[in-house]
Amino acid sequence: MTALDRSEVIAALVACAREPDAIVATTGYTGRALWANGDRSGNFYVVGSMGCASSVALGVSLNAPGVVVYCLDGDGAALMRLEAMVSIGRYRPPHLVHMILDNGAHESTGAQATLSGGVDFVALAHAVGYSGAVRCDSLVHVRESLLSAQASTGAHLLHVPTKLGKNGSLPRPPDTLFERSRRFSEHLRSSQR
Amino acid sequence: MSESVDRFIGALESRKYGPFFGVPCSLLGSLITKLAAGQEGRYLPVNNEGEGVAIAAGACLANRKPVVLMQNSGLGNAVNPIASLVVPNGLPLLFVVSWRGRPGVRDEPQHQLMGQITPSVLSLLTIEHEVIGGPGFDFDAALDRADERQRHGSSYALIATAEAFR
Repeated sequence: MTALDRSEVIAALVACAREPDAIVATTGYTGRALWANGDRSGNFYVVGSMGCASSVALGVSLNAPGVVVYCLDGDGAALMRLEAMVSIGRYRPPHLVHMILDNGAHESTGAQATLSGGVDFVALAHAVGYSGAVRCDSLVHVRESLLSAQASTGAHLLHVPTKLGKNGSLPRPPDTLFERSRRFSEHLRSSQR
Repeated sequence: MSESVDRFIGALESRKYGPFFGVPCSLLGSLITKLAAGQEGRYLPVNNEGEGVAIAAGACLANRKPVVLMQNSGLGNAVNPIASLVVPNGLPLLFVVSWRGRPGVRDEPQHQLMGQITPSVLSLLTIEHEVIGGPGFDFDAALDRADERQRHGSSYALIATAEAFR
């Protein structure tokens, strides 16, 4: 089984998502890879506050029921604030797709190991009340699972093992957090009209 | 039920604050009980203070006026998402932080240090704050000050004394 390339998985998500859906990405290479794939007003990059992206996505979904909210999370980030999955399972957001890209490492800081090796995120998601959870080992399966999650409301988890390594240099989003958060809010406001 | 709870919730709702996320504290007990008895989804218990701040940040991005309630002992747990998410993104949250270990008030030893530094921690996080509580306290005026700060994208904290919601 060959683990997938992070950028390919992110490209598959971006291809599947429709306007005005929202994508909330965790800090580090994941958000930067999303940015590199093409910026849009429905993207929110959680730079810093590692582990908080899925909680931000939950807060968005509960209050913007008209959109599908995708959370691009990492294994290290998910484990850093594992309680977030409990709230997602419990509060049953209208439509949230939680993708955990699992490369077993904090790659952005030098690929130090995380503790994800023995963690069954799919079982965990089922245990805390997600509507669906699946492990995706091929790009085809990622696409199929995204389409399936798109077609069904509630909270869904996709656990996607990925390999270490990035394609070339990843640009950083510019330091305009305030403007981007206002842009994202306006995107959500217009999506609810 | 304390009349100050009703007055505070009335003042919050007339300004369209909500939803409410919280980790309980005995000093906020009557407030949280009343909030939780409201319509479904008005008050959502969270697992810890930092998580509450992060979910509230999402609600704020989705154009709501969320409130995070916590005991001051949990302020430390919330420092990371406040410093790295809420403030840099200019997300205006309202915090209601109880004041255990208030200097001059007899309390348990584990609350003493955080009680001493609670206003300073908020100041260091660049969150303007004021102390609320006492007979006839004017919650409307306090929330007018919070609204004024929030119009500029800044969060605001209300530090609740033991008298606030007794």
